[in-house]
Amino acid sequence: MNEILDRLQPIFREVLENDDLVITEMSSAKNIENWDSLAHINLVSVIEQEFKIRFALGELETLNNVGDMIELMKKKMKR
Amino acid sequence: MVFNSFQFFLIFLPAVVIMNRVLCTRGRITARKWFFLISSLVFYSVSSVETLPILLGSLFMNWYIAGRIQSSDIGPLRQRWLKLGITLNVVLLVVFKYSHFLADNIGGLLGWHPSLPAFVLPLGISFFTIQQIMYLVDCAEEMIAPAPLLEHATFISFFPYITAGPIVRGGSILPQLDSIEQSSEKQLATGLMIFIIGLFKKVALADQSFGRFADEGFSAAASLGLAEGWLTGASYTFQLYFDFSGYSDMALGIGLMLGLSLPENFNSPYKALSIIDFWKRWHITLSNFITTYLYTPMARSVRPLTFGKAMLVTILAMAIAGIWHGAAWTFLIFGLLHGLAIVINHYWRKTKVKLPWPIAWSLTFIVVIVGFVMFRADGWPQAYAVLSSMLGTHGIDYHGVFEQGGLRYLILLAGAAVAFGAPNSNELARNFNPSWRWCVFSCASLLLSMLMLSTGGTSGAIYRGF
Amino acid sequence: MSSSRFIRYIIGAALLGVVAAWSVNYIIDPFGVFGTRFFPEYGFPQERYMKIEYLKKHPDYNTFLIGGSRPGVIKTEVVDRYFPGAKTYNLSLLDGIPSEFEKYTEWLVKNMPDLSHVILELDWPVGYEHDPKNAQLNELHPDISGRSRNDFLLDFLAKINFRALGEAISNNTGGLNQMEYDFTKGYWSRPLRDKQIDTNCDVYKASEELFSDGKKARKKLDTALLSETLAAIARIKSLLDKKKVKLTLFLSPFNKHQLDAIELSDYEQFVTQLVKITDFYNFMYYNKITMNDCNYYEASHFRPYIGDLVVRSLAEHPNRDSDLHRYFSRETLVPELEFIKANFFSERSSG
Repeated sequence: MNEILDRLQPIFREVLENDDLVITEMSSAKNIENWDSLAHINLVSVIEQEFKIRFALGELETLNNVGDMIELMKKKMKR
Repeated sequence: MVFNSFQFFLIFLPAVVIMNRVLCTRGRITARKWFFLISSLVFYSVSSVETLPILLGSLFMNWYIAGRIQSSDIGPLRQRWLKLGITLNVVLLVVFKYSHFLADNIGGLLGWHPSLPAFVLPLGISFFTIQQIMYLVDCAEEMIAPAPLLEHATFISFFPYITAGPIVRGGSILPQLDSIEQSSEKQLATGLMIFIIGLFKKVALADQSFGRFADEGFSAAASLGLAEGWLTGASYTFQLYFDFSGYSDMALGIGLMLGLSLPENFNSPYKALSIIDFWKRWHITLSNFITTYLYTPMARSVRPLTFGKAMLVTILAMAIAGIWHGAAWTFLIFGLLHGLAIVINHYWRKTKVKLPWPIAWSLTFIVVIVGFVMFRADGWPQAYAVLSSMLGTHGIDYHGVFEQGGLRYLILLAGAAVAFGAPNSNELARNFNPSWRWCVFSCASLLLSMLMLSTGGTSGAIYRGF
Repeated sequence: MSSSRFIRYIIGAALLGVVAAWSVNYIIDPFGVFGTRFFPEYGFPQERYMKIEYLKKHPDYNTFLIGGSRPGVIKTEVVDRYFPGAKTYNLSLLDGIPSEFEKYTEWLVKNMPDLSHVILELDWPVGYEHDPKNAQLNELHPDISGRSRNDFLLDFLAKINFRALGEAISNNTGGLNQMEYDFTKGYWSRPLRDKQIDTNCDVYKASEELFSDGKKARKKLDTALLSETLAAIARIKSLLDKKKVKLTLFLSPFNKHQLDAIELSDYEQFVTQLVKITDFYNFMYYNKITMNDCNYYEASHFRPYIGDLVVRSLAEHPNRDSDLHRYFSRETLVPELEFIKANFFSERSSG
């Protein structure tokens, strides 16, 4: 769990252009500045490349908090 | 049959609700689906029996393709079925909705004027096409398993949303069709209350008040003064909101009465402080479709996705969303305008300068009004006439287009107070507890709506004058 | 409050609303379609329905007046007197348009075995448009429209028409628009208005805003409407010829205010084409009747005694000279047009 979070941390910092950003499982589009629809696509693209997984379109809109994102990624990486 | 008709809410709806409760109590899951399907087809046929074959054809086609998608493994074959499915859906939509528009414009350019048959626009085609495209994509990505024909047909043709949305997803509706949990009395009461609020918005506010002002204003588009131009634009802006959100409320209310929860479609859009915010509150289910199924795949196909390219994709997605509303240039311009406004909004965000809320709200609302003038106009000349009058080009004095100008301002203010100040129907539904106050309010709204619906107008000159 | 009680109250309110609206419509019966007659006066009688209902029970008339609301004041007794052997019914229709005249003529041909004479009144074709707000009054009899009778009546039961209800209440409490409407004969009058006008016509003219209303800008003739009108008249003519029924066509004596609104070139076009279909009597020009407002309830409707004169002119032509009408036929068209032109020029410039 934490391993995924640790790997996500730099991705978020880079994509959201904020070097001081610290994400937790509670972080979501609502409480992180700059996490808008555009950043969301970029985040997803980078995560997909980094973790070698692919999200379904229908999943993307439910992914706007870090906790859910990690849950789903765990499921995908098991396959 | 529309929701705001006596035959619907005094006969059809009560019959369906009662029958649904009987079937639920007896635990008849399959019978209930059949019942939903048959009543939906009856509902559809009453309005538009001549286009029923097109709905049925679309249902069969998508059911079949969803099956093929499932039975082919993840890979190129499945992608091919998906592409075929999406293409066929789009072709169906284009043929019935856009062929005349395309023929007129492309034909005009090439000097070629084909005589096309006069298609009747199939009722709900814009909605069931989108729903089924999303469904096929979800099936291909294994978000959901394809449903058997009965479930598929019921899910797509379901009468609460077939004609005007909300646009629903297979993943949220299909499981609900399989659960037979009896809707509680509280749910029934909440549904009834939401339906009545929607009915009142549609009948009393949209049709009988703002709709009339807007009609008068637009029919006198060339002779509006400055204030009248804004009054006309704002009237239509409120009309559209009360009309559309009222209809969505009614759909949600019907859903609750039948024990189904449908997605919220409006969340006080005119309280928005930016255009990006506006689209998170206006026609939410369409916005979700645009973001998830139009913008995202287009954006994903661009690598690397730079800010500039993302903005281009945004404008493209909004243009498609614009033309989805109807086959006319004005709808395309409406979409482009909003796309452009969203882009400006994104650029502004990068500057990290925060506008004071009154300025942010005003700017947003002005863009919304201008967009909806485009949306309502029967063509560019009319849109131009109204928009230029809003800049005062026809004079800044009052031209007397509206009788009783003062009263209109008051009604407009009242409508604005409701749209800006009052909690919206979803908020009301969440906190709803039957009480005497609610009961009196609901009865009064219902009776007033019924009175307005049943008024057979008679003009002044009966037996006197021509 | 419990949910079930909340639901019950709302259902109760809805039912109560429906029952209340239906009873008000049924009891006051502002259009007269239910025939309840709890109150002596109608609001706006639904002529299209009531007249056919009456005729279905009394199919022994042989002469019919068809037209818009203007000939509605023509007394059938007068027609019977001037046309020997006639048993006349006044089938005038408020806001009547030629396509409706055609439908009602077809109905007469089918259902009135003794039919021998139709007297058809025509208006100026710019007026032939139904106001959608009067939809209830313009609804045709179900036998003629092909609608179901229950559906038709349900419309009148369920729709609340405040103007009609208000008019019914006003007419039952001495309002001056009170009509004397005899559906056994089909004609109407406004006795209280007649009394008011006869007492002091000058005061009445000044108080009746519709006289000045008539002076509106000239409305251009709609050519599509004109050709529809002429086509309908031609079909009526050929149907009646086939059934060997006599057709008498006349143009209403228009009040000068309404005449002022007609373009002379449109007028010429209209009568030139009309005369190709049939001869007709033309009361529509400036003369001592049309130029005196005291002969009218308002700019549209002449008073009953003018109706008497119209009938007499129709009956006694050409034996007795009339200074109220001109007879138009293919032979007389050219001189008659000259007369109309001179008439319009002299009266308009002097007025």
